[in-house]
This record gives sequence, structure tokens and C-alpha cells, in this order.
Amino acid sequence: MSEFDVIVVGAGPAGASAAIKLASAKANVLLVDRADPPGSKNVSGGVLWGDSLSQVAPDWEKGPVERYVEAKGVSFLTKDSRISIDFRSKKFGEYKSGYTVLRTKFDAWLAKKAKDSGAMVVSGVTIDKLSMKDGKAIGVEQAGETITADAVIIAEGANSRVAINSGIKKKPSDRHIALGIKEIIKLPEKTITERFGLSSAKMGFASEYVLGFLDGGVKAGGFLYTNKESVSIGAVISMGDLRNNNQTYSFNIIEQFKEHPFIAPLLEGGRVEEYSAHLVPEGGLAVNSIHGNGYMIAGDAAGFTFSNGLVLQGMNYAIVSGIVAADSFLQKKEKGIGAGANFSNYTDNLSKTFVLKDMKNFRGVDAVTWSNSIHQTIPAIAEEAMLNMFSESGEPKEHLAKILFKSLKERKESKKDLAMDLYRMMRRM
Amino acid sequence: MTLEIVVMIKQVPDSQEVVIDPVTFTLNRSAARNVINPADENAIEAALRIKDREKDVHITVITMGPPFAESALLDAMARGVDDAILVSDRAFAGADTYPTGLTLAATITKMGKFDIIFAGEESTDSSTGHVGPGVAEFLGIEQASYTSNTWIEDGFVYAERELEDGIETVRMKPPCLITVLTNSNIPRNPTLRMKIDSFRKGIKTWSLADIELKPEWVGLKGSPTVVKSMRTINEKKREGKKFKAGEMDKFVEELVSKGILKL
Amino acid sequence: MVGLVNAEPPENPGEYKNVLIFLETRQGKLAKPGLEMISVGSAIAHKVNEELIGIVMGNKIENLVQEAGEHGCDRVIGLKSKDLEDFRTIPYSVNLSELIAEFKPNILLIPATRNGRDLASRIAVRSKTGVTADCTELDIDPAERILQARRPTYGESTLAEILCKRHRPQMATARPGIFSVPERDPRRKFVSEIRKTTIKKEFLKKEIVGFKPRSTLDLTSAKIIVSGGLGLGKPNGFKLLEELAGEIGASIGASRPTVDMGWIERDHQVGQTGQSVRPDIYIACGISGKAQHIMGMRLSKNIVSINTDAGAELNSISDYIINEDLYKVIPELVQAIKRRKSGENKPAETPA
Ligand SMILES: Cc1cc2nc3c(=O)[nH]c(=O)nc-3n(C[C@H](O)[C@H](O)[C@H](O)COP(=O)(O)OP(=O)(O)OC[C@H]3O[C@@H](n4cnc5c(N)ncnc54)[C@H](O)[C@@H]3O)c2cc1C
Ligand SMILES: Cc1cc2nc3c(=O)[nH]c(=O)nc-3n(C[C@H](O)[C@H](O)[C@H](O)COP(=O)(O)OP(=O)(O)OC[C@H]3O[C@@H](n4cnc5c(N)ncnc54)[C@H](O)[C@@H]3O)c2cc1C
Ligand SMILES: Nc1ncnc2c1ncn2[C@@H]1O[C@H](COP(=O)(O)O)[C@@H](O)[C@H]1O
Repeated sequence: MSEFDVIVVGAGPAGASAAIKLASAKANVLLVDRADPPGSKNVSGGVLWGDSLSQVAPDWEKGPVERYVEAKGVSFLTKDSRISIDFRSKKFGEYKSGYTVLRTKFDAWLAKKAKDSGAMVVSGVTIDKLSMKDGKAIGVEQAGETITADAVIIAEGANSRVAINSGIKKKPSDRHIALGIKEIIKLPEKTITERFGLSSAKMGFASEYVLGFLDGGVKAGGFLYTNKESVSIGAVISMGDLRNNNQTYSFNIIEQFKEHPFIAPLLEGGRVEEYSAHLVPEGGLAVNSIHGNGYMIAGDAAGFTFSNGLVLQGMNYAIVSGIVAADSFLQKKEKGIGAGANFSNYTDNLSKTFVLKDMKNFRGVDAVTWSNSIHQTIPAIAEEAMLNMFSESGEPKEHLAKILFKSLKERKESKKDLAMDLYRMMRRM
Repeated sequence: MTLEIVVMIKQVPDSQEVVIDPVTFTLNRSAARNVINPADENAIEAALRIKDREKDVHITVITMGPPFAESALLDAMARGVDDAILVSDRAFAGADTYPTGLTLAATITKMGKFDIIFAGEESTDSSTGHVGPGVAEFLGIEQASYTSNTWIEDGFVYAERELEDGIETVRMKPPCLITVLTNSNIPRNPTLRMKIDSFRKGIKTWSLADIELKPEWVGLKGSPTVVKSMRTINEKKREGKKFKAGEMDKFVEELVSKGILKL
Repeated sequence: MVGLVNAEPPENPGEYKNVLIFLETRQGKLAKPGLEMISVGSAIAHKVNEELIGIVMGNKIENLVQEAGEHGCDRVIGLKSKDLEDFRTIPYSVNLSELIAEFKPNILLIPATRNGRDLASRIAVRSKTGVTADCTELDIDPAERILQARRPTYGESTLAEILCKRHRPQMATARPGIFSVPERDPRRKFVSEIRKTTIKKEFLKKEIVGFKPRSTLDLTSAKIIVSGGLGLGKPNGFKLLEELAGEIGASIGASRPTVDMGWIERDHQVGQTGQSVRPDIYIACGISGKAQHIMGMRLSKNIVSINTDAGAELNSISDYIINEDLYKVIPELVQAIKRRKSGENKPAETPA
């Protein structure tokens, strides 16, 4: 007999949701996180989109949430300009948008929930790998010792030590990984509400940026979210670019972003309280299969993130995949299938949710996200077009199409590339 | 006969994470998590090393603290300590070193036989170093403070005390109390196996009633000292003028011309 | 042994008078931290027209008693016994407690050295009173004769004033290197008394079986200190610092981890558990500036930080910051000093 029904590796949103679900169903579950307290090293810009968490924590909106997103922005930034969509909608009241969260608080809350539901929560220990016997996972290995379980849910995030050491995932290449960096900047609650034009202290603003102005043409996307008494500002940077351009340190990029003429005023008077960096998986599914004999992979570890320059999402995918993994275990258990079961039902169950559907539909979106078109060509053209349209030069006005065509012609990038990118963008975004 | 060792530990905010605000020069404790006081980790390790070498050693860790100090005790057990007692009661709040020592000494007395008590040299949050030796006085036993090494030979406890002018080796018969220097050894890491076992075993929690002290003897009420006021230490304004490695001539000139450096 | 009892205030605290200080000895000599208690102790005693009483314990103590008086104690009590030759907790604390019972001092000051704290902790419990540890400011409220003991807390950011209103004596340990040693004056008048004593066998159960002396270095009076931290990266990094120190006549300081790792002797350590220094110039090389280090050097007149990390805590209290690899900076600095000494780089005279 195994020591535990399930061992969950990682107490991020994926692992904690799985553990809560399992423990609530009276399964004997061990949740392990390398950080102490769990989640204290986790980073994310911080909008939890949707309502998936209510499945395991119905009271989550009263939990560790910061502000409800009532205003969403998307902007292209060039050296001197900002071209943006600022979307506010009364309908955000009817549909769920998202809440900003601060991960250290949020993750600690989730881990406590898991503990209160009856899971054994162990922090400050790093799992080395799956313990395998006859091609089946029989538990996990740490410091040379095996702890057995009927199933292991790998929810260790993007930095996949366990999956790689167990030979079920390849070391991600630069193409499949981006670097996320974030600062939390302290500002008074009232200042934030006023500065971002929010209707109350409970309401928030979240925006993504294409940073088309960085030194050395480094490609990065920025984000800025409002918390109760701070803003989270950060960037996701192409790893390949960072390596090819060893002049540019990651902190330098966040500095350039913060100093941008249309960003700096939003941060004025703020004080940096926290700085952190984390990997973000890119390019969809990171493993050939998200299940195996005796194990399932959930959240970032499986590559479940979605970023297209307009939104950066991962927590909602993590939560749903964690819950589905838990359900899939319970399903097998009900049928009396013991240790080392093949959890193909997990893949089937997850296919029915938006998690795998989105992964399929948006496969290859990273090629667009990190294209020169998105980061340089389009912002430059748009800037020129806007200047042309809105500045009074005394010359007769031209048609928009003509302006666009002209500026496109003057640019040295291959038009074929741009056309390809636009095509991909339409298909995949 | 079993050698009974007690280790007194305290949970403190992690000083590595406590950041000093460069402007106000105050501590930002909000972000800090709680850890075992660094010197107490070395005290636990010193006890474990005796257990590694000697036969029949039983170690108990104790702490006087709030309920959440349980995590520090579990952490200690996961390193190989056998038992843990949390002495926790609202009445203990606000204690200075006298009632803290009294409470711990009463706890140890209640536990029964003891041979060696380990404590840290001092705690990072109150940094007095008085609690350990205070307990020894309450119990009327010998002590060796500021030690970097302890061992047992022929029924004697040996300890090396690091003093300002040299290292003193002392020899005592148990029972005795030893305070251990920060960084005097490298504490072992808990493993998952040990963590699981310690969770299953759990800790004991004692209240004021269990140690049979009067409520007015402990906590704030039992403390002879009071904090009258706190004031921020006003830092001398310092300019933080920057120089590059290539500008050392300019830098030396600056120091010399301002009379800071005489060559 | 007091047993498990509470701290009890005396019925008549008014009976308690005078300031008692413990004059620590090391290897048969009065140690500087003990002598430092004389200046602060006499200031407090004389402010309320009381006496400063110094206690010296040891074997050959005649000269030490004389010395303590000439430095400024109004009265010196010497306790003489072969068994008091070296500091040992129990014989020292038992005997000092007896003197406290006899003299009933209002205030007792002990230097916050390792043996001083060892002793103070036990005396406080024996006397059923409170003790304020590691004070950097000590004063007295002349009306109530309450000791105002101030000590840095929260990583030196704040100074807490701690009072012990009802219990006696009011005890404090004082951080070495903060108070000065008064000039010795052979003409100074004082009362002294040497008492021979024997120590009961039961108090002598702890034996000192070995002592390895090590060099002692007084950094507290250094004018220039070049100090190294883990940023040196390796033990012989201190060689480079010695080169710089040699050029400018500096003493060498160190952060605690470098000492713990055996890169340098303990007597070079600056900080909370090392020495408190206040030189004219403190050059920190590869030191991050954690609170416990800052405690020992923040009163330096000028602070230079050489550190690759622009965000090092020490930078925020530095007058000069050189934000580069110390292995690049220090050789350049040494060369620049040599050039300056030889007159090579005197600022060029503007031609007439
Ligand atoms: C800068 C940035 C901004 C982002 N912004 C958003 C956003 O606004 N909205 C959104 O929805 N998503 C966002 N994301 C993505 C989101 O953070 C992730 O998709 C999400 O955290 C994935 O959850 P997870 O549980 O799979 O993994 P993680 O949150 O990474 O959790 C993994 C856990 O496993 C632990 N662990 C790892 N290895 C081991 C091991 N060997 N043994 C034991 N424990 C281990 C870790 O300590 C960690 O707690 C952002 C990401 C970044 C980097
Ligand atoms: C009870 C207790 C008492 C203590 N007492 C003391 C005490 O008395 N004194 C004391 O110092 N500490 C004391 N400490 C330890 C203290 O908390 C810190 O750990 C210590 O001061 C850090 O030493 P450091 O600055 O050398 O090392 P680190 O904090 O590791 O800093 C090293 C620095 O070197 C820089 N660096 C690295 N490479 C280079 C390079 N090539 N060139 C330039 N810079 C470089 C780094 O950026 C970093 O800032 C005590 C701790 C405890 C718990
Ligand atoms: N509340 C407490 N519970 C257990 N041990 C303590 C407590 N406070 C202090 N100690 C012990 O006493 C040592 C010195 O602490 P302090 O006197 O506070 O500097 C610590 O290193 C601990 O070993």
C-alpha cells in the first residue's frame, strides 16, 4: 500500500487547487513546496481571470484579492508615443473579468486552504524526481528516499526539475521560455484609484504593453496592474533576445519601461517594495503527454499559459488543470484502480475544458507574439499614421490606407514577413 | 541511562529578509517570514552532533511563543530532534528576559530529568543573550556561554568558549547549559521523510497551568523592565557620491582635499 | 540558585544607593570595556551625588585596584582569591551577588563583553531584577534616580529607552567601544579595600582545562579602517586589503562571516558581536551592510563602500560609493595613492 493517495509537487495555483479538491474528497494527500512558506518565491503580474477557483474555494473573492478589473488596456509603446485601447465596460459587472492578486499572499492563502481541508502541507523541501518502478511512478524521491503514492500530480511550474529529472520533459529551449520580471511599487490606495480613473478603491486597472522602444531592439511585453496599495509592473522578455544581447540586463528593461514618458507619471511618488523574476513557458504544450502511469502534469509544468500580447494568463489554466487532475484521480479511485494507474482520463477530461482547447487553437501564437512585426513594424507604422492623421501640418490630408502603405514601403523589413505575421495573427490570436 | 538534551529555540522574523528602508532607516518587517533564530539552528545542530556520536540520546526542543511557532518546532523535529513542546499562553505575551527564563526553566523542570540544555548565543530580534544563562541560574546549574564546539568524554561535558582574547576549553559534569555561537556549525537540512514523520508525530502544547507558575509572574506583568519610548536614530546625512574604478586619482584628491585622508 | 520565583521589587527601593561597576579582567589586567564603565558610571553617580564603586575580582589584584581608583572610581573593592584568578560564572556571580546584598547599589553596570553578559544574566536572576542589554546611552533621571538605559533595536534603526522602575539594582550592560576610558591620574583620591575570600568547593565544579590566547587588536581607536566582507571571495583577499591598508596606515576590519570561515582572526570583526568602531574613514570592501554589521561602524565619520551591487544596504549610509569589482578598484586606488604621494598627480598648476 502506498503511503499517500496522491503527492502533489508544487503549491502554486495548480498544485494547491488539486490538493484542496483531493483533500475535500477525503483523499490522503501530501502537498509539497520547495519554498517556505509555500509560494513565497512565486511571481506573477497578478490578474486571476475568470471564476475557476470557485470550484474549490467558493469564498475566494473574499480572500486575498486586491482589486476587481473594471478597466483593461492594451498599448503599443514607441520611444515617443503610446497607441492604446482603453476598454471599460459596464458589462464587466455581469461577466467575470478578473481580480488582481499578490502571489505571496494568494498562494499562502491557498496552501492554508489545502491544510484546512485535510492535506498534509510540507514546505521548504525540493522534490528531486519521480520514483519509478517497472515504468510506473510509485511516488517521489527526495534526498535519496522514496515516499510512495498511488499518483503524483506534477505542478511544479515552469522550472521543471522533477519532470526533467524523470525524463518526461526535455530541458526547454530558449524558444520555449521567456523571462518574467516584476516589481511591486507601493502607492497610496487613494492615489491609485484617482490616477487610473477607477470608480472605487475596490476596482482596478490592468494593461498589457508592447515595448517597441527598447535598447538594442530587445523584444518584450510589459504589464501594469493595480493592487490595493501598490502597482505591479513588469515585463516578459524573449530569452533568446536576452542571450543574444548580453549588454541588456533584465533589470535594465524594467527601468526603461518605468521611465517611458507615458508610464513614469503613473508611478510617480511610488517606492519599489519587491523585485522578482520567474520563467514563463511559451509556445503551448511543453510535454508530449500530460499523463503517464502514476502521474499527471498540471499548470505551467505542462506549458499551460496563454500570452498573445493582449493578455498573459496562466493561473486560470493552472487552477482548472489542477482540479481536473484531482477529479481524474478520484474517478480512477472510485473504480478501484490502485497505484500507478494510467491517467489517460486526465487528458480526455481536460480536452473538454478551455485549457486544452485554447492550447490547440492558439498553437504557434508565440511566433506572432515574438515577431518583429508586433514589436517594431506595427507600432512604428501606427505611430506614423497617427501623427499623420492627428497633427496639423498645413498639407492636405491623405487616406489612411495610403499613409499605411507609404510608411510600409519606406521600411526596410521584408513585406513578406509582415504579411506572414499578419496572416498568422489573424488565424491564431 | 538516556542522556536527556533540551534545546531552547525561538522563532524570529528572518533578518535576511528584513529590509532597512534607506530613507527612514526603519525596518520593513512586513515581508519577512518567520524562521528559527539563526544561533538556535546551530544549537540544534550541536545537540544532534552529540546524538550522532553517543548512544541513547533523547532531544527535546522547547519554545515559548505564539501558536504559529509550531512551524519552528516541526522544522527542528524534521532535522532529527525527538520531541517538541510549545509553551504557549496569552499570559506569556510581552515577557522580558526574566519571565522568559523563568517560564522556560519551569518547563524544563516539569519535563523531568535533563542533562544538557542548549540555547543560542542570542536572538536576532531581542539580542540580549540573557535568556540562556538566566535559565541556568533558575535551575542552579553550570553553564558555558558563547561556545563553538561541545563534546562528551568520560561523562564530562567539554565546551570551547570563544572569548575576545582567546579560546577557553571548559569541563563540567551534567547537568549544564551551553549557549552556541551563530555559524559555529553547518545545520543539516530536513528531508521530506523526516518532515512527514514529524508532522505525524506532532508537538505537545503546554499552557501556563501545565508549568504551574502564577499568572502575575510571567509575561508583561512579570517583567521588571518596561520600554519607555522608541526614537528613530537620526542618521548622519550621507551623500553617497559615486566614483568609478577609473577615477581613483580624482577620488584620492577628493579625500585629501577635504582633509579626510592625510598622505 | 533562586528557584522558580518571580522578579521581586524590594520594599524600600530608596535604600539602594550608588553605582556599582564590574571591572572585567583579562589575563591579569583590567580590560578596556570595564574601564569604559568608569566614565559613564561616574557621570551617573555624580549627577545624583552618589559614589561610583568599582569591583575587581582576581588573584593578584593590588595593582588593578590602584589602577581602577586612579581612573576615577570613588571606591574600589577588590575580592582576592586564587579561585577567582580566571573568570568563572558561578564563583563570580555568587561573590558579586553578595557584594550587591551588602552595598545595595541603585545601579549596576557591566560591560557587554562575552564574560560580562554571561555574568550579568545570572546576576539579574539572582537579584530578581531586570537588565537592559547592550546599551549605547546611559543616563539618570535625577529626581527619581531611575536609570535611563538606551539600546539600539530593530537593526539599529531605533533607540529604545528601557526603564526598570521598581526592581533593584537597576542593571545594564554597556556596549564596548562606546564610552571612553577616563585618563589615569596618580593623584586622584579614592578609597580602596582588598578582601581575601575563599570560594566554596561546590561553586568550583566547572574547570578551565585549556586556553588558547589569540592576538587582540583594538580597532576602537583606529583612525582608518579597511574592512573586508564575503565579497572578497577567498581567504587571501585580505592580502589585497593589507596592501591598501599599508599605504594609508589603516587597520584591517572584517565582517563576521569572513571570521567564521577562518579567513581572518576574530579580533578584526566589526559589528554587533564584534567591535564598535568610529574611525575617520571606514572603507568597506565587499560588505553588504546587514544590520549586525552596520551596528558596529555606522558612527564612522566617513564611509566608503566598494561593492559590485548598486543596491547593497551599506550604500545607503555611505559617503562614497564605488560600484565596481573590488579586485579592480583596490589596485587602482593603491596606484592612485602612490601617485599622489609621489606628487605625480597633483592637480596641474594653471600656467600663468
Ligand atoms: C511576470 C509574470 C506575470 C504573469 N502574469 C499573469 C497574470 O496576470 N495572470 C495569470 O493568470 N498568469 C500570469 N502569469 C502566469 C502565472 O504566474 C503562471 O501560469 C501560474 O503561476 C502557473 O501556476 P502553477 O501552479 O502551474 O505554477 P507555479 O505558480 O510556478 O507554482 C509552482 C510551485 O512549485 C514549487 N516547486 C517547483 N519545483 C519544485 C520541486 N522540485 N519540489 C517542490 N516544489 C517545487 C514552486 O515553489 C511553486 O510554488 C504570469 C507569470 C509571470 C512570470
Ligand atoms: C546573532 C548575529 C550576530 C551577528 N554579528 C555580526 C557582526 O558582529 N558583524 C558582522 O559583520 N556580521 C554579523 N552578523 C552577520 C550578518 O547578519 C551578515 O550575515 C554579515 O554581516 C554579512 O557579511 P558580508 O557583508 O561580508 O557578506 P554578504 O552579505 O554575503 O555580502 C557580500 C557583499 O559583497 C559584494 N561583492 C561580491 N563580490 C564582490 C566583488 N568582486 N567586488 C565588490 N563587491 C563584491 C556583494 O554584492 C555583497 O554585497 C551577525 C549575525 C547574527 C545572526
Ligand atoms: N521565547 C523563547 N523560547 C525558547 N527559547 C528562547 C526564547 N527566547 C530566547 N530563547 C533562547 O535564548 C537564547 C538567547 O535569546 P535572547 O536572550 O533573547 O537574545 C536564544 O538563542 C534561545 O535559545
